[in-house]
Amino acid sequence: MNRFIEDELDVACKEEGLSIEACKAIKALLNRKLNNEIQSNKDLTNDLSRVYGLIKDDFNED
Amino acid sequence: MKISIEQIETNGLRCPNTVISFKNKPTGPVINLLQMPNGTGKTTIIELLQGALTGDAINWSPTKIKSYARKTEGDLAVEGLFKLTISIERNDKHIQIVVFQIDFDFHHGKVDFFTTPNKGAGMEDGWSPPKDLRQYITKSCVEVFVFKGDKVNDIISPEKEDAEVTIKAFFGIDSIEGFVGIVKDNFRNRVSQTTVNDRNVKSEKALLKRWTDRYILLKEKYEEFSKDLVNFEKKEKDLKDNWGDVINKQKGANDKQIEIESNIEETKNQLSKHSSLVFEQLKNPFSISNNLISGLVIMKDSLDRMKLPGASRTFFDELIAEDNGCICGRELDNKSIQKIEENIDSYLSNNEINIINDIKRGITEANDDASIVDGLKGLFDELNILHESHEDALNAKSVFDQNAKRNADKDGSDIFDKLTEITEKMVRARAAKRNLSKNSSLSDDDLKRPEKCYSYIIAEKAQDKFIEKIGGMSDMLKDVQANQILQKVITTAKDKALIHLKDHLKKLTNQKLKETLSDGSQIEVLEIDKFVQLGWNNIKQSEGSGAQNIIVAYSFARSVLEEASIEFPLIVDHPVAQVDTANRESLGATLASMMHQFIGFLIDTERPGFLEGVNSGGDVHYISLFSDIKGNAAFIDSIKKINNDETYITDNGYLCYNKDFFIENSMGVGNV
Repeated sequence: MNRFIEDELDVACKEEGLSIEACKAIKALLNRKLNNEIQSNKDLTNDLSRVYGLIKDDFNED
Repeated sequence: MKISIEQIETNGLRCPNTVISFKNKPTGPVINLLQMPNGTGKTTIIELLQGALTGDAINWSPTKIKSYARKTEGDLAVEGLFKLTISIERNDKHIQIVVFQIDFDFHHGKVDFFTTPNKGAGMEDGWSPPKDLRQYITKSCVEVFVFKGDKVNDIISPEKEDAEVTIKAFFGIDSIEGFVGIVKDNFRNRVSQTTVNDRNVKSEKALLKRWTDRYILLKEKYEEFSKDLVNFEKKEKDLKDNWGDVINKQKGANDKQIEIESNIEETKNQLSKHSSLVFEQLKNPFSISNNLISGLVIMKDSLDRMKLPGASRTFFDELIAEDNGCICGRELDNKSIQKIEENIDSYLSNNEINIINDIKRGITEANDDASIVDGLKGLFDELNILHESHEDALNAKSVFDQNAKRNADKDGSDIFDKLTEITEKMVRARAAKRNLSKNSSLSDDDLKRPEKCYSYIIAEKAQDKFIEKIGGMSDMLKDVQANQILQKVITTAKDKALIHLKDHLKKLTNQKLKETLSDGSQIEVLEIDKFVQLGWNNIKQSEGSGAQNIIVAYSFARSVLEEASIEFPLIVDHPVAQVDTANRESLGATLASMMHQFIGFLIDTERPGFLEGVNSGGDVHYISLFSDIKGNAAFIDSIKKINNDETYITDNGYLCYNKDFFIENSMGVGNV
């Protein structure tokens, strides 16, 4: 992933009050997408569920 | 990561059967020049190279596949082969050899695609290059380093948006954009699959389904028009070239056309500049109407008639606060203070009086500048004149075209009619695309009628509203919020990254321009947005000289590759066709220092100046390829006189790496 995108993801996550863990999960998700590693809809749903879970954890901590 | 083209092998295709080896730094010359007579299959080689590298060949239609078959005395070849070998040098200096192979079955119009991901490894079915390379060899990315000479104009043309397309493709922004859509779809499915047994939820879900169907329909239509438009643009370009040829045949018509087109360009620029002036003036509300000024003058007169009580409120505030008694010497008792406090608000403070005086001064100044309204009127009058001049220039073009059509033969006249037809189709397709992607807000009433919606953007918005609503009704509110945040984070990051990337690439491109262009070349990149805006000292210009445009395009491509930390060869068809002879030499001389591998498909008209230039800049790998046919008898005779080690004869063609042969035998006629 290009450094500008990565930096801006950090900024956007911070602005939304997301944890470092949630931000890392979003980056991993995008990296998997950019490397064509998401092979099926099931893969995507699992990846997304993990990210949604971490974002919801951040709500709960607030 | 440095990628080089090592070898191309062809068999049974519309070009001679051969194996061409290319050179690259540090093993040999950086510049590879390939010449082929017209009709030998230069376009075939470039298209196959693109199809192999991107894996697009897998999806080619039977008609397209069959079009690559070699024809021998009317018979089509049954099968064919195209093999592309590339090398990948990573930072640890380890070199990986990757082979893409397309096996053609012309009889059935099918291809089998194979990849050998490493030297010595077995062939794998399908397109499977190393993972770290994949994102850079999509169709849009490959167009950055494998292109025809006219791509240069596409990068600097406001109509094409190629610069943004390139940046988005190379840095995965388009992939991320697409991914946001996939995330939306996935979440929409999750929400629509909720099994809440509630009548209201069911009814909202039914409506969501209708909106989803509507969205799919409208999006498909939008994509259909986009695809049509791309095809129309290609056809328009070819027809314009053909129409240019028709005009060239008519005496004096070419000069007249240049004059008319330059007049159109000039009047358009004047119109654009003057429109900016008018808009600037419109920002001043006093310039719109004398009534506005006279109304304000009446207000000022009223203010003047009012007896403003000076700084009285400030005076009374201080009087009470200081507690030194009244100015007449009497002591201020509580009753007097209370009385002052009750009335103090009816007086103005210093600040308020200053504001009123400022307003009055502003009105006086606006009134004194009585010419401001006349000024705007004058600007509008001039705008009208410029608009008429532009219309006249366009009409002159229309009259010229009609005359040229009348003077043309039947074929020429048909070309003109087809060009007119395609232009009209383009206008309709553009209008349809605009309507299908309109954006506006949705009322509650609109939300109930998906079938009345004609924009996929609005249909998408409606879906989002229903997702939110259904999510809230079915205990998925937190998931809805998490999904919204995820989309917002990704969208914001990619939008801002795109802005930074464009700015950074502008700086990199300008650095490279400084290194490459001769001193005193007054051209730089002012901005990169949809296209590369050229200019000098903040004054925009639509293009530079032919040589400058090419150096800008090469510098932009190199900057993109540098930022992506990847080096690709530049593979260019007609590398200097648009450059005047005088500038070809300097461009040729600098090519070797610009990249690690350059492959140019040269035609005869590009030789003068360019060959001298590339020779002075370093070693050149000269490649001549031609078929074993009667028309090439002179080349065949000539090749017999040279060193056999540099000549390879196949069953239907000749491949020669000899420099003298290349210099002495000019192939590929530019105007065919």
